[in-house]
Amino acid sequence: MTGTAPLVVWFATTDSTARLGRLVLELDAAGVDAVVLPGDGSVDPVLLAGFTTRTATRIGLVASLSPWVQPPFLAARALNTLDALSRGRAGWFLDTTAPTGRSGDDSGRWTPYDAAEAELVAARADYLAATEALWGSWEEGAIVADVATGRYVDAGKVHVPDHRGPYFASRGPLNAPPGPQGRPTLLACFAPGADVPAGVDVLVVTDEAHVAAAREHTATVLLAVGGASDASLPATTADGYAVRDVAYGSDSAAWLHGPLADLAETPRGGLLRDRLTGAGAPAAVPTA
Amino acid sequence: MGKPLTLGWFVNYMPTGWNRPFHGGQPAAWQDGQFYVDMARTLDRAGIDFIMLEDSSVVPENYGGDMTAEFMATVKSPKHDPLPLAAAIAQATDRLGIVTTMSTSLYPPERLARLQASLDELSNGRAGWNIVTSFEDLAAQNVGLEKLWEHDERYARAHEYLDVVTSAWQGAVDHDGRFNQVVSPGSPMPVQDRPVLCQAGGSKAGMDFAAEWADLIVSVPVGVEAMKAYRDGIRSRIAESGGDPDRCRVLYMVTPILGETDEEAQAKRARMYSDATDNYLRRIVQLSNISEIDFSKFDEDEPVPEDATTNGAQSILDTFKRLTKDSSLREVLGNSGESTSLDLCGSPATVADQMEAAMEEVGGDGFLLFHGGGGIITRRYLDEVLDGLVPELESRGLFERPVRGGGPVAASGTFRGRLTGA
Repeated sequence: MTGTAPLVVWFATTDSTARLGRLVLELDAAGVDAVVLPGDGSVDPVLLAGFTTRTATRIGLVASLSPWVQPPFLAARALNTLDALSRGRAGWFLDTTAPTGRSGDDSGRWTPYDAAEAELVAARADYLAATEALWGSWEEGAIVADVATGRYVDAGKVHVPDHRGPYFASRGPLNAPPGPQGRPTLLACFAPGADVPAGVDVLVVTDEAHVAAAREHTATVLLAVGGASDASLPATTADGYAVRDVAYGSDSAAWLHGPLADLAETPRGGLLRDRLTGAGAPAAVPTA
Repeated sequence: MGKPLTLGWFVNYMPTGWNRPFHGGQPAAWQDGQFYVDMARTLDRAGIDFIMLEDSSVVPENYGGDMTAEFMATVKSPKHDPLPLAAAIAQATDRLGIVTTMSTSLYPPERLARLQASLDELSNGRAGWNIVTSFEDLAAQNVGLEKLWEHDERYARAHEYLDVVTSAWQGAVDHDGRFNQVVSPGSPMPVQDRPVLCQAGGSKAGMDFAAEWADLIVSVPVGVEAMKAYRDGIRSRIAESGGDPDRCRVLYMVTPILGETDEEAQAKRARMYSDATDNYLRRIVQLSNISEIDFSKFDEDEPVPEDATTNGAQSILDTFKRLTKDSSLREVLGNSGESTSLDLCGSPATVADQMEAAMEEVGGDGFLLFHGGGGIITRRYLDEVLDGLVPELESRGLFERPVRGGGPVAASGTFRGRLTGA
């Protein structure tokens, strides 16, 4: 990693698909490290990310996904494929909002709709454990493509995790090898006293005073900026910034051509996790 | 001939050819999807109507009781999720229909409605859904079910599931049915009235389902007579329920083997489908997967024993007792390819003649090209079909290459519009 520009993850606001697509291209050109695609937009964030993999070639593509919309196997598989398709730039922002609507069947599988908050927290942890088990089901180097023996995959390096948690079960293994990152980079919000998801790579805090507490859980902490404030970056002890609530258009331009203009001079690439958490991650540079 | 043929290409997001001729030298590169994005661009340029991405979610253990044989034959695994790839293909193409396979047994219905609507929006009205119900218990166990429902129950459930999905494409859903209970604000509206619905029902329940819902049917009845009977069966079902049989197109799966001469093509075919290669392993693993019978238990150089029994598909076991009676599993499977509707082999002109004759006899409506699953397809094969065979079909008036002009979007219209000639 080169340069001393701060890490920047941009949380796209819900917008039309055409405008979201243009935003991703502009953020990529501007050197932003990753974009978080909203889960409540017209288009599913994993698919919008897939759509942009060929045109936005450096930026991390993070899908905001709630555990409550699909079984963990389907989320693990889709995010793993996004990592392969983006050559190691896939991320998952854990959406912790309450479930909307209801969907169930006669199978007796657990549903979140009538659960109290404590149960939702436990179920979320179980969901993450299931995805983690699935992403771990293939060892590195499982693909051998050995013409002499006719083996494409070394079956000894693929394991059945058979996750059976209190809320979710998934036998596995995944039916594809892990993407370049091994598992997608996991991002979440942090608030003191609230539950922190296991295995999280990046935490976002809304208050500078919470940076130290967040650091007890993960290496990379970002301070949320944006909203109604002017386009400027406060000094911080965090590793960078999470730009939120900035609409696409003149507002986003004010940020990209203002305090973030220098990012484009030192473009970063590579695997998303390395970019956000790797050794030598640049310190944030306060801007007056 | 009436309407020109509809041509689709069925492909798996799996390893490309890696241990056969013209493999390209990058055995693991398929994972980033670039081969398939390039392929979709090539199909788009050639005027092929749609690409259909297959899906399944298991590593089978049917043959030999573990994953070893599957990972040599790569019939079903490794395989990535076709949906994010479909989105990348939507970005890279202008006109090509993009059909994704999704199972009614595995996805929650409102989730599936949203994902299909997303692909329809990203492709500007070019999405299609290949409706499958899955059959593997291992797939059920991935999503927290113990086992899948029996065949006819899966179809009964699929009818209700389709009610929910198609409602969600129109607006809010408040569904309290026999199998599903869904309250949802609905998915975003698709660009098309609804994505093109595809189905591959071969059984009676499957044909009833397809006749009720499908815009496009993909099928593998073997031989012209069976092809015609199948299409007539679908069309009469639609007519009986008061529909217009022309609203549904029936396509037949084929794997043309092409050479510059008929002799070259025949020699190539003999090499491809030879028990001197791994063809036998592929075929026996595939058969074990379909039937859920462990064929490794039988001596491959002998007939299947008369007294053999199974918890899997008894009818398939009985068929192979009959087929191998005076030979062996290896002989019967090792020297043949996968089941296709027509045995197409020869120069492009010869194969185009075969396709033309079959369509005249059957009445329509087109073909689904296939050269897979895992470990088979090469860029060379694509070129042979698209630059060799397709121009021959075009010169016979069987296929119309779209005229480009007026900008890609203005010229393309929706996938549904093109299928129905609207």
